[in-house]
Amino acid sequence: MSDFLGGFWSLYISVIVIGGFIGLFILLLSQNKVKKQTGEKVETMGHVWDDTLEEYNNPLPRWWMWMFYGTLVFGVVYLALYPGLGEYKGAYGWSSHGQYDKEVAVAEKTYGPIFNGYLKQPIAVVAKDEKARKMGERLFLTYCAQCHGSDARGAKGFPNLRDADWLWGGAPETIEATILHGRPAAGPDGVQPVSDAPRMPAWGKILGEEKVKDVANYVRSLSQKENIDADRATRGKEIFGQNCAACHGADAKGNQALGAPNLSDDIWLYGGSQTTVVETITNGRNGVMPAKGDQLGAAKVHLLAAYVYGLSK
Amino acid sequence: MEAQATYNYKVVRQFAVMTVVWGIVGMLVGVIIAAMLVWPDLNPGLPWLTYGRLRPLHTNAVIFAFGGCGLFATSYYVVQRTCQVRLFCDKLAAFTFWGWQLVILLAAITLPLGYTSGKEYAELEWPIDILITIVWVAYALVFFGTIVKRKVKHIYVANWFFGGFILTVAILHLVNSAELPVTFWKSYSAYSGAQDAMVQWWYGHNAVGFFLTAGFLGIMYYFVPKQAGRPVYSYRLSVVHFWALIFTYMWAGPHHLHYTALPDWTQSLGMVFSLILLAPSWGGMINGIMTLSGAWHKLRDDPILKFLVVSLSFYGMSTFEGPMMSIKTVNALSHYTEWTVGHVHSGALGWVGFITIGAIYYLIPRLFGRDEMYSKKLVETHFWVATIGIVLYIASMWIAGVMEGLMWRAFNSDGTLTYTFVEALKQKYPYYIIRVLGGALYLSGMIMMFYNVIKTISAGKAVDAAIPATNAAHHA
Amino acid sequence: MDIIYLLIPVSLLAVLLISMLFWWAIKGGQFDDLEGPSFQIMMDDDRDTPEQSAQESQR
Repeated sequence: MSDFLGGFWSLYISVIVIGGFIGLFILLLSQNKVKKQTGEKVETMGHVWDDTLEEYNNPLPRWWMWMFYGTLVFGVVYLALYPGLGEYKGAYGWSSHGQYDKEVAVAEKTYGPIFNGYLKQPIAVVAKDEKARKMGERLFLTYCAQCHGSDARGAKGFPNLRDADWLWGGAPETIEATILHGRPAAGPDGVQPVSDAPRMPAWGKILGEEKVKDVANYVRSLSQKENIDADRATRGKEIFGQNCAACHGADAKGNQALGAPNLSDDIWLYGGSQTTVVETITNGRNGVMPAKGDQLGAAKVHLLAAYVYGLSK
Repeated sequence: MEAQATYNYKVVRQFAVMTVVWGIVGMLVGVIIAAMLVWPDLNPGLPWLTYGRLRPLHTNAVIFAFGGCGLFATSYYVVQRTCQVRLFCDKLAAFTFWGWQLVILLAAITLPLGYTSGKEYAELEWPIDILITIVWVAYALVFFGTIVKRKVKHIYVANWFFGGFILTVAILHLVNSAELPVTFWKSYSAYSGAQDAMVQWWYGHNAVGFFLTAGFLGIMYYFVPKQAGRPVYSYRLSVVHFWALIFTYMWAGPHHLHYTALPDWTQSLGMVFSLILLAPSWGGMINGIMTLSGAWHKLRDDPILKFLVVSLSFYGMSTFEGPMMSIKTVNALSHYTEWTVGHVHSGALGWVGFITIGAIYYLIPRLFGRDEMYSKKLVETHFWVATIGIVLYIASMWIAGVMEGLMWRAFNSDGTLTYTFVEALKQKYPYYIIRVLGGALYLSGMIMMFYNVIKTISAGKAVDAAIPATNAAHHA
Repeated sequence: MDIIYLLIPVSLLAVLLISMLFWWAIKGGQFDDLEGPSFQIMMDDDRDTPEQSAQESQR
């Protein structure tokens, strides 16, 4: 354990703990008096107490003392069996890491085969298997529903998985890759996307307020009719071609290789109002789908991919 | 001159009245946040009224404002009467009152504004922490100063409990609140990661142990015998369990961090010492309850005694429940569930609340020269309404907590979880409603108390009792 | 867990302080009589001292 650099601190802890136990035992032993004989006079501070009050001269209740001794003995036994006295590992050699590893191994042995059976089947086939769908659904409700919702219809910033609109692609293998590696794909640490991963940059400072408004009007004009400033939209088209088309395409239909959304449909990840679109362009968006491969393993991800694939069919 | 010396009841009166006022405020906030869990839309969209800001306001108000004022009032009363001497330094005593009210006021302003150090039960920012330290030092000076100039050789056991509470809380506050200020209203803890967590719960559990247990046991050891008219069952037991409690409590903190990044050995020690605490904790309950044995008939028509006895029952219950919940296997089920909330409130509403309410009902007539409270019947009603409130509260939280814990750990034949988090939340809904009802009943009892106190005060007049010179001389 | 190096000395200091108090209490005779004190508070009538009654009657 890195918490102790040497035997000294281990000894330090042990001495205090053992000393504490001994102190408590002594405290109890020193008070181990039997109940006074009836009729014995209470002679205290020179007062003559009312005779009826004599009964209050009580020693420690026996059962209470035995309970106290009992907990102390339990403590001694427990600290002999389990870690507690500094570096001493305990007779059982138990550790919370060890317990975890053991439980995971048992679970792997019991449930592993159930999941691994589906790993050999293509996702499209698994998606049609009712039992697999149920398992996938439970996994989804445990690991994915927090963001994508219990009904998988998403929320602001979290894609709806039930429609046929895909940011990174809806092919079975693509969905599986998304869940395994995250989007943008996780870098070497398996968690964080690399720094140059594709994302929606902040255009506010580059374009300036007016041009952002122009582009917003243009983008919205592709799928909406109301509240569009036609002049701005016209100007915006040109700005779009120069700055946005590289990722979103000249026709604004997006690019799934980069996760660049299709802007010509009326499906919005963050919202399609003028205010929200201006906000998106000005500040950029950095939504991340975390990689689940390390946490869940290939077999569970396979079932999840099949479940999600099945949702939009 | 000596014959006309009086006790300093003024500061006791001030704290006693504020105990009731802050009790209502703190519990009202509690009912509001309980209602927010049932109806999340209750907040009209104001940031100051969000759950995350009101919850620390609730805990601070009930623990430090209600409980704190109650402790100040009773400890000042008890130390004077048992030492048979006026409080040390009236001006300093007055400073502790106004200083403590200022702390509470600042808490009530800064917490809704979102200023917080993020440490549970120690959320107040560094300038307030410093103020607390100053007030606390003054409190210690007044209390121990009074002990030093006492006219009775023996220091009554209640004073040991109060003294232990004052000293330990000072150490806890200083160590846990060590922080680096960056601006006037923002600071960062001097510790980080698992170490910060360790300090936090070393503080957190000892706050329960010394603020909410030792301090209130001090109240118990004076007011239960006095109200029952019978001396403590076993004075020896009171002394033994005091020392055992003081020696063992310091270790229990890590049981709040079972199965976390805290090293295994720390968790084991926390659990073992939490179990050992059972006997020292129960010493107080046995002593209180046994003091009444043979005087049970008094319970029938003395509502104040009812408050005190029921508070002891809840004390015994929650100090049994606590060690049980600190056992790792039990903790694996109970941790993070409503069970913990139920456990805390059986201690808070039952033990701390009832013993304080009983003591204040005892004090008010004596401080304002009345024979008894304005309406004894209203005290009786308060007792029953509050008791039903507690039962509803803790029963609903126990059921909700155990149910939730079992739902979280249920899994299917393929190893997947049977219930999602939201499903467990949905199942708790009816119990949340019962909880609001229980809390509202408890609050309404406090409002009855407020009315009763006001009526008693307006019919009476502030009295500073004379120090019985002959008696004092006898013991000197 | 370097924090343990602070917490344990602090706890030790507290234990030392408590031990000293304990020792003082025993030596000073605080616990010589573990019965009388419980009666003592019962003899202190905090409801109706003569002085207080006098005040009341003067009203």
